[in-house]
Amino acid sequence: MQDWWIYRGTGSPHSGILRLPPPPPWRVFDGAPLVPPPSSPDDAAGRRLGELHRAVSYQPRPDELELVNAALYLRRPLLITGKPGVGKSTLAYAVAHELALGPVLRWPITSRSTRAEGLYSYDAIGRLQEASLHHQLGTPGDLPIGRYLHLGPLGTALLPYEHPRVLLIDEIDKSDVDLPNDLLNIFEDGEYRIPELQRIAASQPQVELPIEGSTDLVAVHQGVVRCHAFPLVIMTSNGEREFSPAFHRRCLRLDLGQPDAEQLAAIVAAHFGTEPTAETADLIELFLSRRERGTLATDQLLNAIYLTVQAPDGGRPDRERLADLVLRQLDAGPDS
Amino acid sequence: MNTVRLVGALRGLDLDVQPRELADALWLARFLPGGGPPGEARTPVPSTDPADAEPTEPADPTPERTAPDRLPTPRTPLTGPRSTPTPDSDGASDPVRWVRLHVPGPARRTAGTGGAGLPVRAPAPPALDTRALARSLRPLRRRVPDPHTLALDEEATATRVVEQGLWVPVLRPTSQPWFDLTLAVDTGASMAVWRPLVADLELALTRLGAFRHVRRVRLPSGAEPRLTIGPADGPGGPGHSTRELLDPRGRQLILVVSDCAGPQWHDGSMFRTLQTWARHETVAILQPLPQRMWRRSGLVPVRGRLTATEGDSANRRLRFVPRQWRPGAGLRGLVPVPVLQIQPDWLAGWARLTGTGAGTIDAVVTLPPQPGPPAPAEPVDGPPQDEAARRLSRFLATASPEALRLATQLADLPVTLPIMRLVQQASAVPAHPAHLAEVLLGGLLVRQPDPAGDLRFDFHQGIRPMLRDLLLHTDLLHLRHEIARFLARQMGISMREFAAALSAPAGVAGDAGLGESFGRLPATVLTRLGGRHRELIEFVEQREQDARLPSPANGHHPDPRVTTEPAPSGADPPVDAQDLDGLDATIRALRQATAGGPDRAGLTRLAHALRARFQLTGDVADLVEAASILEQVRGRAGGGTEPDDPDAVLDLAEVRLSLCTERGATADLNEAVALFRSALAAPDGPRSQWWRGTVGLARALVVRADRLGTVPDLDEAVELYLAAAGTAPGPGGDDLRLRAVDALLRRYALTGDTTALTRADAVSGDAPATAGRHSRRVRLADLLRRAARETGEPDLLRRAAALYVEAAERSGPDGDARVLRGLAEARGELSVATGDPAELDAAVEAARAAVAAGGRDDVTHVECLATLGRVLRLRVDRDRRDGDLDALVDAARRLLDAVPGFHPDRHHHLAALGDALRLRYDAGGDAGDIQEACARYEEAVRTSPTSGAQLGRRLADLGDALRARADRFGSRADLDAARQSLTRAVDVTPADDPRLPDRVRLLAEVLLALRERSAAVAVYRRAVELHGRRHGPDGDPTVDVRVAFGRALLAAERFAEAREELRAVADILTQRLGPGHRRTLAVRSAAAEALAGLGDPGGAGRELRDVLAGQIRSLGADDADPAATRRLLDRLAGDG
Repeated sequence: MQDWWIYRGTGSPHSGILRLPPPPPWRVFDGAPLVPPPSSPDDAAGRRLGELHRAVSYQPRPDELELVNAALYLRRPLLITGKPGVGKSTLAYAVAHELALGPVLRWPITSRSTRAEGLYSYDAIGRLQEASLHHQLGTPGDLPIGRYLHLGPLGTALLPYEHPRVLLIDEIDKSDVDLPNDLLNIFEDGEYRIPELQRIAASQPQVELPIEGSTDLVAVHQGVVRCHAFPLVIMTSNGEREFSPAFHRRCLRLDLGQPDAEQLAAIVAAHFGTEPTAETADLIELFLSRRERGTLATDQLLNAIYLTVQAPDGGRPDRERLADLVLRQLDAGPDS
Repeated sequence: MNTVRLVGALRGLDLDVQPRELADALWLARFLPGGGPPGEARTPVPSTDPADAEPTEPADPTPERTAPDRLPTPRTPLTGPRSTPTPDSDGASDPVRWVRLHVPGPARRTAGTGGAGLPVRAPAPPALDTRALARSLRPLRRRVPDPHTLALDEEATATRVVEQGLWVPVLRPTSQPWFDLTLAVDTGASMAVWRPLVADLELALTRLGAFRHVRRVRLPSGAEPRLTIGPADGPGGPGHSTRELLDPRGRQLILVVSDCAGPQWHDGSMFRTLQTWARHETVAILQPLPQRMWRRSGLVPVRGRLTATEGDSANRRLRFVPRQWRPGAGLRGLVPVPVLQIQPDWLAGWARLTGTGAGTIDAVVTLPPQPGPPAPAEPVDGPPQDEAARRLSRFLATASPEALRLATQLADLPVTLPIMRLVQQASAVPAHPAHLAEVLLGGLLVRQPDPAGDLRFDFHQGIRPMLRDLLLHTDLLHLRHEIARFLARQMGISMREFAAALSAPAGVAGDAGLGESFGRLPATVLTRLGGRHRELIEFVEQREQDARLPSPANGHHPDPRVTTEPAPSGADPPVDAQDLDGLDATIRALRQATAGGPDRAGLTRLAHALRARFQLTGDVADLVEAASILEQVRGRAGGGTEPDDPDAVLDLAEVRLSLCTERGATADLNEAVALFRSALAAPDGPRSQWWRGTVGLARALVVRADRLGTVPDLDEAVELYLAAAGTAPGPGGDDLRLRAVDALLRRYALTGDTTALTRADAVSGDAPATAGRHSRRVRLADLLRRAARETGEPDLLRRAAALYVEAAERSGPDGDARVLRGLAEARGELSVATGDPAELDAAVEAARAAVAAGGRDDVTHVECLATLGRVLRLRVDRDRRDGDLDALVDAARRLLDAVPGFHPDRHHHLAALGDALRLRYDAGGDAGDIQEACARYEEAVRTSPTSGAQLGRRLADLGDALRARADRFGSRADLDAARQSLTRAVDVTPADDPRLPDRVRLLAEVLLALRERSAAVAVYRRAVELHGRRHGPDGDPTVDVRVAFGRALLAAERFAEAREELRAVADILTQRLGPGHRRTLAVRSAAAEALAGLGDPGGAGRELRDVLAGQIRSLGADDADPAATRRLLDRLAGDG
């Protein structure tokens, strides 16, 4: 363990984030006033990390630790590349859990995702409906626009929190060609504007908006959102696509290999809550040997173990057949 | 450590640093620990270069080296401290252990003997440059409004609400892509090679987001007569009709990916299907093969321009105009289907046309195939006795440079598809499938059986060594380096993989067979794979303890400069040629050692190591860094009270000289010269230092003289070389002498001063007889010959001949054609200069020997033959011996045969042969000769360039030959042709050409022979005038032509003029030759004839009798001339 590490991969929450030194001079953002940290527990984390009570045995490898810490220090996004099922998204949850940074803001990307969608969404029709209703009923008073605006994951991550939020941009290699460059700009600036609020800034300088992943309302001033602590942005990619060199320059890059036998055992233990038995060890061996011949995801191992644990005691052959059904290689055609 | 060196060091690790990244790195370095106790869990040092030692610096990840922009992930087990970092290795860098990667071979059962391997998945590079492809296909993202899906237009709604008070939302249709894509893939046998390409293409097209759906179908092939919908590898579904792809709205884009080699292409059924599709939809054919191979396939490509208008890009609306209109081309009624290579530049134009529906592009469309047997598109097996050389030359003749590069780089590697793509990816040029196709189908490869059922090829017998010769060593190193880097970077991470096997050292069991090796990995990368490779890693790392370099704390680093003596020519120090890895390790260690403080000795050694590495890899960055290090060393020393270290100065000067050679900057050169001079000026240095300085300065001055043409530099260099040579006995000194000779020869070339040559002669004479001296003496002889030509001194020629003789003796019984030729030329010129026939004979001998010696090399052979012809001609001119004439004709003929038909100098050789034949005909009278001579002259005239001085000569020669033939065979056609030719010759010859008078005379003679007397007379008159101008009115040729003129006048029956002319000539001849001379008498008899023609037979008779008497007196009664005179008299008497 290195002293400068803040995220240590132990799995149990601690307050290491308080030791994070101030950012380098070119990455200082001055969003104000500070927004209180989010409170609600993260549902997804439990599903992904196994029982929260036990020490989470997602054991990251030393270079993962180094890079996550480097990203934390340098306030730069982190691009994780690896095969499917290797644990890229889980890392974000592990970091958020251990450093108590609140729920992970997850933004799954498709080829239709745009930057605007990630920042905020504006329900114009709803507002129109309400306004016409008000008009008809003659109810006085303005409608708070905050009810029709909703900050998306990217927008929420850039709110001026005191400690960085964790933003998980999943499968960014599936995006449109323009999205990475759009994101670069916003990562450089660390701020964005909401024109709908800017227009009414004179009459409503401060608007309360709902945010992603929480039921809190956050105040936005003058329609400009600027971060205070740059979020820990973790982007995952399957490596199906090459990004532009400018994109690579602005991010830290981490290539995640596949877990080996010990780590698989640890993962299995975390999910199933038991020590690995002889049968699971066998399955892990089988998994590893198959993995040499084709791509397999860790999930498949977990599925196989689950099935065999639940299968009736029909003896090994049944379990083996079940395992065969589940441990199909991902990159071969339907024949193999 | 300053910033420049830091950047240099990072660049040396192939990290391209930007200012922001460097700032980040340096800022982060503040927080990193400066060095921990060893024995803890190791932290890997981040670096991208697999050649660097990966996690092997247990203690000190030095701050500057943390460039956190990319990390591979070597895996270290997490169970506590490792056992291998040993306590005494603080700061040492362990050598990298390498593991070789092989293609899988046949499985062997003998485990544990070190031959078995572990199976592993190696990363494969993509088959296409998907980014460029995506960019080029962007215009296809044509979107149209979709009437079925409506979305809210907020602006319009808001405006309506505000302006009209209507609270009704404004809806507008969303846009959706216009096209649906169907990728129709040909699954014939020859398309198996392109399967990964098709997969990548499909991925790229899907990612493009330009189509509503993308689906893949399999084209009908021999096995399945119907269309199948589904992926290429899957089980066949029920067949569908090809018409099922048609969409009545015309929004299908059907891209057919095929190499068009299957039988359905050749018999036209596929063409009909395409036409059916094209009538309704947009269709294009994507060809992985390069355009020049399309003729082999079932396509009939036609080039032209394709125009779209009306915003509609459906094929039936495209207008195609072929570039060359061919009647009956049969484009009527056919819908143009463009054929495109799978390359961004091809696709961009077509995408633009299709996406916007307007514009014009150059395109190739296909016509229906001609009936006939299909040409095989697989690698063709020629007859087994087809030589490897012939295959290779055929390939070289038609391959593009990238394909050639790919082929040569595969010379050392097993040839499977993933490896070919690895090689393509390692070169910086963007890889196109077309180049792959060229290599696969270029006739060099043949299919091999493969245990895994994949595609595997091998070169034909004997091609590999030839290809290896074409590969530069630095290219090979670079290739290996790049492949290793790619493998290490992507191992375990890449989505595309192929099966490979790792070689396991003895003791580690494996069960995969090993084929040939194609690359290597640092063993530590394997930790990324985990699992059973762990044992391998542990095993390998155990070995590291045994074979590690001594750390700088313990002892010294071996100095990469192997000899302590100065290198013979002051060049970069010699290195152990193959030890690039050792050098890398040494450099790394030295960098670390010197990072702490300015250690002069260490820095100097580092500079030497960098120079050594530059010698191996040719990377200029190493030299630049070495230069800056030496500057640093020197500056540090000079700033203090110590004087400059002369060794450092010399090192720096040598590095600057090498830099000048690499980069070509004159500033480097001048500085090198200045540094050498200052090193020499330093007093009381050791002998070796003076020597190095002298030689280095001499080299630099020679380079400068070459660059700038400064002669004093050359002189000084010569003196320096000789001075240094004088003190260094043995081969070093001889080498320097030879360099001095080179400099002197250059001096002659620059100034034309022959004293330089003489001196070069003397100096080279002093040197012992080695191959280097030999070649220089031959060159000296060449230059002496050239000097002799310019100054005309025969002594130079003699000396040149002597040198040639000496060189010829040296080359042994076979003889060196070049030397012998030089000797022949020198002797020939000497014989011309001195008139000595013995020289000429010797020249002919030498020329014959040269021709015999000149082997297969065409150019030398041709030159030797030309020389032989020249010297034989000289000899023939002197005295005609039959043997010589035959030899001359033979040489000329061989020369003509040796020159190819299209060669621009062919007409010279034709004319030379014609001359030789004419000479032989004149001597021997063989009718065949004159016939051939005429034919050759005609051909020479035909192939001569029309604007040369030669043309006149050739025409004149031709005319002369034709006239000779006409004389022989009496053909009037020949005379006519001769007349034409000579007329043209006279027209073409400029007025001041000395040969003009002769040509005019020839023409006149021909005209006379044609009996066009008046024309002949006119021309004769002109000839007389020209001759008179040139030779004077009394010159011999003038007199001759005047006689001929007179006879012509006689023949034209212009007796008065004839008489006058002939009488005048007779007077001249009487004066010159005497009244009794044959010629005088002949002219007088002609004059008498003229008199007779004037109507005075009596006077004529009197004169003739006088002439007759004179003739009998001087020539005897039986001579032909008196007989002719008597006949004349008789005729006259008979008339009168």
